[in-house]
Amino acid sequence: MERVTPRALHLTFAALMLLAILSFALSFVHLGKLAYPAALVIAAVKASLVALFFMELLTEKFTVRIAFATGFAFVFLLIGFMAADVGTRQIPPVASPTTPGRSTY
Amino acid sequence: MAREHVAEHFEDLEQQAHAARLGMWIFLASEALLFAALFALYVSYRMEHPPSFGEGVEHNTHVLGSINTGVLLLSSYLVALGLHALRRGRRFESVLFVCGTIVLGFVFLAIKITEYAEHFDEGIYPGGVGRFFAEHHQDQGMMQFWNLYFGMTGLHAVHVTAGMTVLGVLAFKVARGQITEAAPHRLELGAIYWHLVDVIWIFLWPLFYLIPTTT
Repeated sequence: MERVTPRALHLTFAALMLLAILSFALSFVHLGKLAYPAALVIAAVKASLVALFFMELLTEKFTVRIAFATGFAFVFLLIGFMAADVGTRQIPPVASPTTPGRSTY
Repeated sequence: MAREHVAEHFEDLEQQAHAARLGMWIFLASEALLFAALFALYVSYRMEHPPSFGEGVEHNTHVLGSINTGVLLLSSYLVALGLHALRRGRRFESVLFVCGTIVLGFVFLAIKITEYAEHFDEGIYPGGVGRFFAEHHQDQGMMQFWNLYFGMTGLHAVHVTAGMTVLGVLAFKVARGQITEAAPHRLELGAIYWHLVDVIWIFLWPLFYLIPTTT
């Protein structure tokens, strides 16, 4: 099977270090709410590079890719549903809906 | 291909190596789910206490944690080169690269222990114990941040130690000629495991060291 070449390994390492430096530099910039997506997108790109080239997922057979995809899907579902649940919870009304002069609906 | 490396229930070495890699990837998926549960907990707690988590990140050992990222990325690169050297039949070179990875594993753990020591000096202990939490009026979010920090980085350090042990055994076998270019997949399995340890850190790093208060 064709495996990853040394040149690809060198380039992957260079890209990983550059992305790490970018992440570090961005942590000093006040990005507000963009700080989450910026840091996590860079982390996802770095993880993809490691998986594709260092772990050789790029040249793996279909069955191994299926095992990876299944694991990834369940990780995504677990974290995604947890975040969706917590993020959409309503704070219960602090006063009775019948309280005069205050509408909670 | 050397027939002596092939177990009798496999047709050839390629099939055996593929089965071994598939087994390792399924194991890695279960490892990823173990950490995913903790990441989900992090997301949940951070959404409930955003200021405390932001403050926790700002208080954390920013530079030491970032140096550790570089250390782990370099260690992954070395083990990948070690595997490539073994496939080319350069066993001595392969052992050197894998030993380099193990040394970097020790460096990572030494830095992590230094970080923990700094936190203990500041009165930050697991379980919300210590004067730091008393000074912060036992802030619930702050306790959750530091509990997750110690729990997740501690569990990760256990994985680093396991990976170093596995790679140590494999390097020894490569040096003795028990693992050769004829059947390099055993080193592949150890290398893939080490890369997973790297991938987990790639996500731990921004969550505990980089993303500050976002308001």
